[in-house]
Amino acid sequence: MTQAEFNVYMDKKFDELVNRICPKEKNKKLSKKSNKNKTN
Amino acid sequence: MKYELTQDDINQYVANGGDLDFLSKAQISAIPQEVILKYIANGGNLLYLENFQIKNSAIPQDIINQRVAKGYDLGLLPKIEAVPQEIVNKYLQLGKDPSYFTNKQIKAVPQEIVNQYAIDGKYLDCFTREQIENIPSRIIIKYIANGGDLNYLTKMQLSSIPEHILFQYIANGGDLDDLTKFKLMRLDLYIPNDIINQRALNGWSLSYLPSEKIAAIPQEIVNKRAQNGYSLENLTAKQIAAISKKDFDLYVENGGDLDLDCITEDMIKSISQKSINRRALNGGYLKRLSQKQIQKIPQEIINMGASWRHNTANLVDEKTKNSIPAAIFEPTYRAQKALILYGAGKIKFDQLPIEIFANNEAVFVLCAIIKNKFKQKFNQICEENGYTDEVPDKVVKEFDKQLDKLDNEIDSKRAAAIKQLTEEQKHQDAVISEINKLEW
Repeated sequence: MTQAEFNVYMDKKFDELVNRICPKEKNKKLSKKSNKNKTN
Repeated sequence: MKYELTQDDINQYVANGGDLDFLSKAQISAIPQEVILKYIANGGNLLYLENFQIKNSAIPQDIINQRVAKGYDLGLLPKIEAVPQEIVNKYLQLGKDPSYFTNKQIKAVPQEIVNQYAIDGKYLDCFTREQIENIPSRIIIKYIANGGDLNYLTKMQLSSIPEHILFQYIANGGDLDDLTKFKLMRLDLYIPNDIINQRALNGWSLSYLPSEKIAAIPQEIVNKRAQNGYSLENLTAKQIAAISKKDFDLYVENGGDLDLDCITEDMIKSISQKSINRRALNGGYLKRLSQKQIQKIPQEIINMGASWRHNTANLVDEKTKNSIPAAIFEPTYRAQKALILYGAGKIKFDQLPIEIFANNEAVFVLCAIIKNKFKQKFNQICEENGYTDEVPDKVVKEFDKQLDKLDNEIDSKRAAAIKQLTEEQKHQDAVISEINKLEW
């Protein structure tokens, strides 16, 4: 991968780490799912 | 920690990519512009900067180009319209949000990049009609199978989707209302059970599905949905009533929505205090819980939640928030100060106060600081060795290894911090129980 892609990779890995450590992120994921599906 | 922060600490922290989230307006305004430029080029959040720091004349074009080339968020960034097309394409090759670019820049994007967005199933709304029409049908099929939004496709593209692809669309969280709107499928007709079960298991909305199809979802899947904190809306009363107390406790801990009609008062009453505390610690909304249940949340948890801006709204109302004594914010200021010093490179990871690890917002900030440290280090390795076009596997593996180590370290610190909190709570409970035994 290129250096730019490596940067995106590092961002993604850190996002995964934060999502795992701080379950609060799950709320965001949830609301995204409900927006997409117009549950409100 | 007696040490008072200096502007130099703050400048170094910011130059290293530290978040401005909890700095005061005065502290942010005093940061020299050359530090701000470094912060901007390295992907710092622009939301907290003052207008004079991000106005057109304050940022040279090459700083803007650097930020775009590195694929950072472009919100609030000026002069994007002057970014060379080559850099725009590079940014879009990373699959980032294209909505910041002008029509002219978007029109000049090569079709293969547009096709890649279609494969990923996102941001098609940002491209022109012509670019969308030119997406090959095999890619459109993938887009739909991934649950992509049907609203951006042409009539022609929508008219020839095979039924099994529509089933995939349903399983992968596609909007069910759109299926009916575009007359692609009637939801009351045959849809295989395993497709609906897959959709339910992954937490997607069950709205618009006929009730008999929802009623056929096995209880085991309903329970898994609950355990993960996914919405229980639209499930039948029978399915909800059959969720065990243990699974419902997990739903509460994992931030599941309590403000749904299908969640009865009896269910709310049955939640264990441990789960309520965990929910509060994770910053979950406490609406619907009784005053009695909220009052039982350990003060330490309330204090931590209340003192970090993001959690305040979840834990207390405006009036209560305003009446929180200033002393309660002290641990947060201490934590924030430690985070700034850590970001500035003046203290080490092991010197961070343990309380930081029990607070999600603090861990969030800490992770952002560490991410910048990691990225700076690995980008330096790439630049020193000329790895611009091809980063060798061994470098990526080294990153993975160090990240794993960090993950374990944070985990064990976090466990220790939560244990400490629980011990303090046990001690407080014991004291209160002793006091209650006394006869006055």
